[in-house]
Amino acid sequence: MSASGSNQWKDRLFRGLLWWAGLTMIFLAIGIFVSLVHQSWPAIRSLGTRFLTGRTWNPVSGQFGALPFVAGTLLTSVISLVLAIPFALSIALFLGEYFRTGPIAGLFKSLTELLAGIPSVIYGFWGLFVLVPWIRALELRIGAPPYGVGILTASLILTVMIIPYAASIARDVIDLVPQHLKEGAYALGATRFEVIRKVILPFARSGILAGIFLAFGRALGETMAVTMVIGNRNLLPKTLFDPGNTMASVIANEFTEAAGRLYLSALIEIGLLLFLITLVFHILGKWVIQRMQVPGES
Amino acid sequence: MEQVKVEPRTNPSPSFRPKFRVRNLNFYYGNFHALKDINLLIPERRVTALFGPSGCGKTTLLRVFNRMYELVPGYRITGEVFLDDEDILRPEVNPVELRARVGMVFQKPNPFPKSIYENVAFGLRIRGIKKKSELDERVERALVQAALWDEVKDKLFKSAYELSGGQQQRLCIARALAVEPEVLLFDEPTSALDPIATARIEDLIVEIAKSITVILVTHNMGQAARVSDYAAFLYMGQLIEFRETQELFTRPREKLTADYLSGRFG
Repeated sequence: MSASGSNQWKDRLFRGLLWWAGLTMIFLAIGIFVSLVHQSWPAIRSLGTRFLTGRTWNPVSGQFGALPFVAGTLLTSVISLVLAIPFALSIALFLGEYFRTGPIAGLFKSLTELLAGIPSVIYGFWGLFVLVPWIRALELRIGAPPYGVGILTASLILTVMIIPYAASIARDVIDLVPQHLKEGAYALGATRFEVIRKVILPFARSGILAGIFLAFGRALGETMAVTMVIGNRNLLPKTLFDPGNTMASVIANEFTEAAGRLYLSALIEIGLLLFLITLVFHILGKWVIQRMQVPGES
Repeated sequence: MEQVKVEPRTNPSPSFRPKFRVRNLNFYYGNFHALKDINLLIPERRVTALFGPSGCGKTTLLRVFNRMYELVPGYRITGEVFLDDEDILRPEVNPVELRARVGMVFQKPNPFPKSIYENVAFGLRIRGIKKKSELDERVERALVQAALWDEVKDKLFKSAYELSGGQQQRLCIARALAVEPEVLLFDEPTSALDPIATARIEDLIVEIAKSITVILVTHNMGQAARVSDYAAFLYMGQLIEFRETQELFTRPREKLTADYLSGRFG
């Protein structure tokens, strides 16, 4: 009687702890949102829609148009995603289908995951010392202003950084495609390519998309490496070789020197905007993934 | 381990026309000798059952006939397996083309996560058939042959996963029949099904064997007796006995077969 009573008490305590842990996450998300709105309120009130449509960001003259940063973020993220998808998918198919077992396959798999764990400042340095000279040489050859840094360089760095995310998630779902489905296709005389195209990819597509959206989320928010190679110019980029700025990198660059209440508040509003954009893509991603889901086996 | 001493038995002057002729077949997974000197003739347009205790090599032997063993690396195979007059083990033989002639139905129903129609059309589409009228006709014919048409004709475009287990297995049979194979391999096709669904599949196998050569792996002796014309008893990688089913079941010549049939082991 007393034993079962004390067990019941433990059970209740454990459940309570889990509840609180879960609620903390919700409070945190709401808290971040509320404090972003609160801190950016002065900017929202005094700038209105000029903040979203303005092309000039000049704190000295009190102009706070965030469009160049929104453009920079979306441009670099979309370009890097487009460049990363073929590589990520190839890696995932190679490690998830062609080369799945054995110690060397395990090593490759761990290396892919390890790439995701490299601090972004290291990618930034690599970009600065290796990628920037390459891009500069390219720019000289084609007659573009030889900045070296810019939208293209940032996109390429982001590509390298997000490939491991998309690849390792896609590998996992490709690895999960049931052997009996693949055998069913082989037994009908399908070639390996047909099995990949008609069985593996359709089965794994929602998981692959989940990886792609996660990678996109990473690209939207990546700060350090991008700041190091994007050129940090607060103008709307006209070509891929132009220096630019992203929402995350402008916050990182200017936060410490933001003098004046409106300046600080405008930077925080950029943070709020980034939060909302990420949220929208997240919800969009969930929706697409759900629609792509293969009906479960009974 | 006990080494069984038996002469590999073959049928020197068969009363049937052989579809497959297996000669001195040996199969190894790594160091494991899974099939030992198998010599066997598979009669055309009959049901041949391969049976024996777990691990006797019956499924391994079945997967030789369409070279499905190639999907799992680490094997070694020697000997000859003639399909009509062609040795299918020769490297020049394209397994993709072989599997178009030798279809397979698996232990667990494995329809693709697609509609009923697309499941049956799968093999036709990968063979480049695009014309809707031809696809429609051949899908219907295969579903009729698999005794499933009446149950699914009104929901051809519903997911295959909405069907019951027995229906799913008949769908897999229809899928295999659609490409008009010469041989159909069944790997314990009813082990995941209830008795009623099992009976329907068994009837279907008998029906199919009127036009197609059937090789059936089963651990169920009753099934072998009900369905097959010929039966091969395998034990520890060796073919112990192969004869007409009725004879083998009523008058086994080998002591091992008799012991197994009377339930003394396995």
